[in-house]
Amino acid sequence: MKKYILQRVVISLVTVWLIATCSFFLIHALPGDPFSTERIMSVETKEKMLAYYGLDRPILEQYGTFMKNLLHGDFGYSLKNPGQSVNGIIAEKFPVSAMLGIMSWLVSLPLGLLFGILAARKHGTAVDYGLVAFSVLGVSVPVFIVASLFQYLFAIKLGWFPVSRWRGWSYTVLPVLTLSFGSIAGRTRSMRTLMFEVMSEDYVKTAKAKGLSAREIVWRHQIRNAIIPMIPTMGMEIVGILMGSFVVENIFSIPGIGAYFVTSVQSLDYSMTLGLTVFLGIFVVVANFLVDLIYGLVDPRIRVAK
Amino acid sequence: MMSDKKGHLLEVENLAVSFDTYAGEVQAVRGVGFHLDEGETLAIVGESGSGKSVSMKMVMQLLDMPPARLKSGSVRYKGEEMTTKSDKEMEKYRGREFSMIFQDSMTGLNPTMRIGRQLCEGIIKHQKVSRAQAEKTAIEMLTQVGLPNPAAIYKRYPHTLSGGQRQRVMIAMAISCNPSILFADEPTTALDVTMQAQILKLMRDLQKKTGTAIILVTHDLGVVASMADRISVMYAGQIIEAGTAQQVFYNPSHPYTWGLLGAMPNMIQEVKEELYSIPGTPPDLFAPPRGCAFAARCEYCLEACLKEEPGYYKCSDGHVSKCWLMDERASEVKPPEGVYTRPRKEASV
Repeated sequence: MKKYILQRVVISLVTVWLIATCSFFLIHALPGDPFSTERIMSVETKEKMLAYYGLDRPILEQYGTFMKNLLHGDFGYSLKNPGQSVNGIIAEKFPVSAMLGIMSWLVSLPLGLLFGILAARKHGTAVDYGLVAFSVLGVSVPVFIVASLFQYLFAIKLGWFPVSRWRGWSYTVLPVLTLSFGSIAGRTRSMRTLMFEVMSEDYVKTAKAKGLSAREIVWRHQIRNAIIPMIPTMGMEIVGILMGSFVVENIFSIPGIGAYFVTSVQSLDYSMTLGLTVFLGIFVVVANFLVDLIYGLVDPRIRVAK
Repeated sequence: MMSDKKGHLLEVENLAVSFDTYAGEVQAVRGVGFHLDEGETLAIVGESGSGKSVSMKMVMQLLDMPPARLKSGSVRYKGEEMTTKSDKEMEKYRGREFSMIFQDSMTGLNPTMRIGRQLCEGIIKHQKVSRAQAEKTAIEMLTQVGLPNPAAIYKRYPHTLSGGQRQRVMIAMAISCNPSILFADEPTTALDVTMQAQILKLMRDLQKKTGTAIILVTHDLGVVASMADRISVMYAGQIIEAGTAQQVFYNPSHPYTWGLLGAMPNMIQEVKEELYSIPGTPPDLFAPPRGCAFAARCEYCLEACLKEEPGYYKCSDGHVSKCWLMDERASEVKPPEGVYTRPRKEASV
């Protein structure tokens, strides 16, 4: 186990390094520079600015500085938000996005599993068809449509929840619902399929031959085995939820980190883009690592292999 | 048909099972009947797809319905009709009165549950005992099936055991509630030859001790020889010959049985000889032939065989054959050389 964790830590570090390096050279390969979009800026001022931020140095030297700072956990200063450090912006805005993401995950995980199990148990009935219809709908309707629909229905027509902004619990309901809608649907679909797959396994027949009731078979034998193939996808789903949250944050005027991500790329805010990319990269790598550990806990076969 | 009216432990009559698929109806079992008495071993022999396993699962009602469908037939256990019982009612019988050993012990055990818990489940369910008591019974069962260090195995996961050990666990599980009938669905097919012999010996020993009746489903005639009291041979969803092991092995009367026995390698055979095989393939069960299902592959096929299905002809006491050759109008036919003259040795493994 120790060896495995050490191995994973090394691989994770290499991954983060690759993310940092690739994004560094990619963003610098984009035409223009951070100040070329400013309308009123003389050539002199612009050169002064570039020199001030060290952007006139050779690219490899810049890379060296970037990596050195990165090792100290310093992402530098934003080029477009004068006086604000990238670390500061992340510290201020990321918790909001993370909360939104985690809440959606906590809502979508149990609901998705439950719906999937329910659909499989009620196979061929109206409940099953309803859930299948829901899951097809949920997977195919884009998140911004769901968002506007929810806003219209629950905020404007029914007035149950505020339309937008982020000022308390009631403000979180609609964004979280919107964000989890797609994942609930997706998970319902895969859980339903996995339950069917497990249903035809021999050990389910064995359990039935033992005289267990359908309910006992489902809870003791089917669910755990059905969830196993789903675990590795959870790591990727975290990414999905974060990407989705950019859109949702925008629609619900939530002061998360999503807006910074989009604008920083558009305005070639090098340090901001790189800082956010590397930060999210680390986040995803860590999430996947945790997911793999959970995988081992659930499936004894993997545990021994480690 | 094949069962007389005396009270047998298990009586199956005219059992027909179909699977409804998108391609149409597969008539997997087409009128199967047999009976079983206490403490005896009945072997059901046939090639893959002949419906032997489906018949067993239908008796225990382990098939998923749909797609499976009981078309007709009755299953009486201790005189009680089972086919009309609900799934809920069947739970009381499964595991307690009937239990089953499956072919593949690798997939037959839940990979994410410890052996002990899988064993205890059935014991707790049927004997209504505490967890601690169930654990004691479970460990005793593991000892009975000859597993070394049962207390350690109790705590292990299936993947840490060998194939033979897993099959022993399956047997321990199957006998843990003292069933009166044990369905063994190709219990040794997935094992190597040495392990096969050990498992069969274990089953025989347990049967001697507990008096459990066994229905052994297999395509391995060697297994049959060492285990069975009576044999039913299945082909294309029907039983085509049935009798005692002696009758079917040494006085077979259906050409398909001749073929099966002829295709069995024996130690005396010249090594140079190519092993006999029955030509052709079994009929399509989407549309079974009108006449005898074996007619197309049969060397002795008569005109009648293609037109109409034969009934069961009595060869001798307790020995029947579903073949037109047995009809008095058919001319006498000699089975291929060697079928009746095969060396008789006391069956043992």
